[in-house]
Amino acid sequence: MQLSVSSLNFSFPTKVVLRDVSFSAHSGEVFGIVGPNGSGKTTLLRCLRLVLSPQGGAITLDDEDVMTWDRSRIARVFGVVPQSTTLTFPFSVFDVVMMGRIPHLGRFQREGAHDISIVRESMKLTSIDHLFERPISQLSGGELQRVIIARALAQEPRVLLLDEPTSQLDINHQFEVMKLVRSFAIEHNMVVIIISHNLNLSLRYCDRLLLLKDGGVHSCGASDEVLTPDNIREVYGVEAQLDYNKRIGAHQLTLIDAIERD
Amino acid sequence: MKKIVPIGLLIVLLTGLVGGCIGGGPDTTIADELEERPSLSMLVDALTSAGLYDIFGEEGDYTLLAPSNDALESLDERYASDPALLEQILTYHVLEGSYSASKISQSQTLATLQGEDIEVKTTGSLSIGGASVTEQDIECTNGTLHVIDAVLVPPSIEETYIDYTFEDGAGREVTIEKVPERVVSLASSATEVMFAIGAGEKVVGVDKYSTYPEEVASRPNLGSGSSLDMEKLIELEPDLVVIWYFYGDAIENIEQRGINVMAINPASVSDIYDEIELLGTILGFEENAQDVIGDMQARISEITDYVDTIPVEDRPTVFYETSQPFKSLNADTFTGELIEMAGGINIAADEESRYPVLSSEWIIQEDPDVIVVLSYGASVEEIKARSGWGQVSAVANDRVYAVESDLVTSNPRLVLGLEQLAKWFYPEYFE
Amino acid sequence: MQDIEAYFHSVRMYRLTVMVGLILFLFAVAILGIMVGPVSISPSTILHIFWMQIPHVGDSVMQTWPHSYTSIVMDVRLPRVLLGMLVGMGLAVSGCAMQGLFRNPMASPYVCGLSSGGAFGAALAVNLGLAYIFLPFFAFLFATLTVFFVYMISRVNNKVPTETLLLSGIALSSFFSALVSLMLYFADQQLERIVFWMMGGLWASTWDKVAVTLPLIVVAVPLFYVLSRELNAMLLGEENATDLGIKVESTKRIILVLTAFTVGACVAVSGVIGFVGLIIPHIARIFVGPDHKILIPASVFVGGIFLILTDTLARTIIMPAELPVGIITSLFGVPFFLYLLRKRKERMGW
Repeated sequence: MQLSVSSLNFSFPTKVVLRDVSFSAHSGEVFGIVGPNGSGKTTLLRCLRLVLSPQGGAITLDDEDVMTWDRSRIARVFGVVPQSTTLTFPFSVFDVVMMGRIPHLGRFQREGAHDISIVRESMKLTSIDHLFERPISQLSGGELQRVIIARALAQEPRVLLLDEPTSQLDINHQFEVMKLVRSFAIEHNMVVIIISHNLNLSLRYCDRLLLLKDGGVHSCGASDEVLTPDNIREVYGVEAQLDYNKRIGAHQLTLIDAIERD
Repeated sequence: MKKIVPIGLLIVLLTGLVGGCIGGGPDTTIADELEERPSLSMLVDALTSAGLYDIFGEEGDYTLLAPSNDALESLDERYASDPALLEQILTYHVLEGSYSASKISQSQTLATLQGEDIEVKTTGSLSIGGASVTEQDIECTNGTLHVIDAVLVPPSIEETYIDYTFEDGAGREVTIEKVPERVVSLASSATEVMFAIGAGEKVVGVDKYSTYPEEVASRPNLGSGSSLDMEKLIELEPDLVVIWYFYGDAIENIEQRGINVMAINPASVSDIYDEIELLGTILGFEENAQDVIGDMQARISEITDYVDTIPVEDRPTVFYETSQPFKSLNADTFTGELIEMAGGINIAADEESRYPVLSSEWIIQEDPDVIVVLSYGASVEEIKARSGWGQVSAVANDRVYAVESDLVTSNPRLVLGLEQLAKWFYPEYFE
Repeated sequence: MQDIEAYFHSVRMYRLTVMVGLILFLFAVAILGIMVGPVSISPSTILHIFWMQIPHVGDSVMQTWPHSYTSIVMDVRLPRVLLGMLVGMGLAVSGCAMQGLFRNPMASPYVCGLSSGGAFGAALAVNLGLAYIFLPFFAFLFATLTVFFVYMISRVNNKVPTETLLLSGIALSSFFSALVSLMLYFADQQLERIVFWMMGGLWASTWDKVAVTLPLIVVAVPLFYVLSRELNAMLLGEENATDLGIKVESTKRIILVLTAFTVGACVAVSGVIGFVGLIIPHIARIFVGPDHKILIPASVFVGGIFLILTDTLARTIIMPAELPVGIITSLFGVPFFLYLLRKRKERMGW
């Protein structure tokens, strides 16, 4: 399975955000999107699932034109873990994960045994099945993030989009979430696209990366070929060193200093 | 006015008589005689400061009724402190021509230099305008001098300076020194009363609820007690403001500007009589006020006399609705009293609250014979159309009426309201 | 640890029990409301009166009570209890939907200016000297117009951000309140009735009002219920809801329209009754949680029960006089609500 994006453009009335973005992500790999703040990462993710309507370009999943799909069909294919979730009212973990079934249920159809088993499976995958009765207002940040991931999984998505799922988490939870995400790509054959701020985590857990700069694609390819010291300098203005770490079996960046610009 | 009667009145009188008879032709002026008597020193001072003293040293023919020091000392401070008033009062003591005591005794009234007359009474001892003569017939070259024991105040001044103190409707002690000439009425009841007793000319400003009689429309509108146009009020320079008792803030505010305020709180028909009487007294329209009251009483008793002949059980039951749906009033209210006087049995008479909101079903059960609604409340059609009211006697017999609010509140027109109610309650008798 | 399936079914059972309980309670309360009043009518008489209404069968009943009793039961108490139920239901369900829509527990059904718009309409009708039947009509018209106006001015690029909606609702509310105050300030005593009307009450209940309100509630409540999934998802944020396949903007529109009509009708027939729409959803939430699938039906019934009960109190507590029901709803509702809130906090930490 392959999600392809070609020549995607998007602008707000006063600002061009994405220009001519093209890439494709495959099932079985974790595709990362990196770039500085304001480079258009979140907007790109929103355009992918048509929360924002791109003003040009094409999005296809295998041979299907995603841009012609309605909301409900998009929701059956794209599972999303957004940056933030409002939690004013104390739903139980079970309730929230069950919401992932909404796109699959007819308007007058009740949740059935099939839905329950999918919810159960999703909670197991994210190791929150013991929490199912708890109100989400009582969960820790890591638990909550896994609940939202479980909800996305309950959508039975073919594409999983994650917008900085680790930014609010402690380091140990960051590893957990990234490992979890990787397992979906490989074991469940999903297209997984993840925005990350953490370049070293991206190097370690993403197979390929898209580096955005000012709304355009700076480079795209294997992680260690994208996050080169040259590219880091050009995009972030930071001097960096890329080394292979034998212990973890991945390249890691050492950020040295910001480069003074004029 | 206090009168000081000296203890040795007779002796002094005799002495004066003897002195007057024994002496030959006079060779002193009135001024000389005044100077000689220390007991008249204050009069000399007063005449001097009023610029009147000199004429009594010159040639002429006057009679001076000279109040003694004791009399002048007890003169009301309000008069003593006002030079213009004092001058009027002093000239009131001077008569053109020479009047001996015997000539005075033969007159009914004496014309004074001030213009107004003094009344003379001879029953018993001689009394000139209420004062007794303590030393009489002091003949002088330019007239005659009589010493009297009290200051004479011209009636016009006495009428104006009434110095009337009473407790007003807000329980405040109010003193009216001078009869008000410019009155602002912020209470429709008082406005109507003032016009009814003929004092409407004195009303220089009204509140927005004062709409009767028609002349009121020509008076400046000052809003109401709760939203008072204070600038306009000050501009009108009223010497009295009449206002409802519940506008405490406005009362205080007006008072602070040195304007006399009188609050009214007429809660019953007899309170209205009191209000009419009080306004009559302080505005100088006592007689008119009594006439108005008399007329009201006559018309009211015409109704009550008939009602008294009707046994209570034969009187119609009445549901009275105020401006708000289902809101009635009990016997302790003004309108409640009118309903009773007009011979109606108010179904809400015994309610604890003065203005109870009654249950629809209870009204249905009470089955009033007559329903009276305030004209700006629900409409008659609205009441007839109320759910479940079709069987109520008043609705079934088409005896639902709207009444003008002005006719059933505390003003002299309550008589009209009462007559209207009586007609509705006893159509066969009062039509 | 309980199995998920067992949990799911126990939740369903609990909800079913709650609903059956609420329906029974509503019946009991409605019967109580019909039984009591300043005029004491025996239950057997009331039963006979009802029996008499049945065509043919009722003809055999011998009337042994004053005729006024029939009027009282059929034309005063029954429409009043029914109208109280409908208004309570309408306000509670709308309040519930508005709190969900705005993701704000402080939202009330009047949040988009329905109450002040309605008051303005009523004041206008009285000011224009129109006949009394126009008052509810104007109230309804201006209440609903206000919501649409609020919606229109909040709309940017075909989207209506809820914050903007909330703020323009508050702004327009204040504007209409000021207009009403202005009218009250300048108008004479006639507008005293507007003040009274704004206090809210069921004293003027008629079958006509029941007939107008009933279809609206009967249509609106199931529609609100159908939207409960959307409301649930929107509680997690609009982007979350969109990702779950929900058409957020059209859902907002539908909820606003439903609320405008439901609350507009309630305001028109009973004035502005406060508190019910704000607090009933919270009371229901304490018992059944935030899931709109149960929260909406529970709020509907709790709202109906609550308003019948408080109105019964309002008209009997100082018989034969009445209190405005708004005073009772707050006077008895607030302490009850605070008690529940405390208990809930002890148990759930919320």
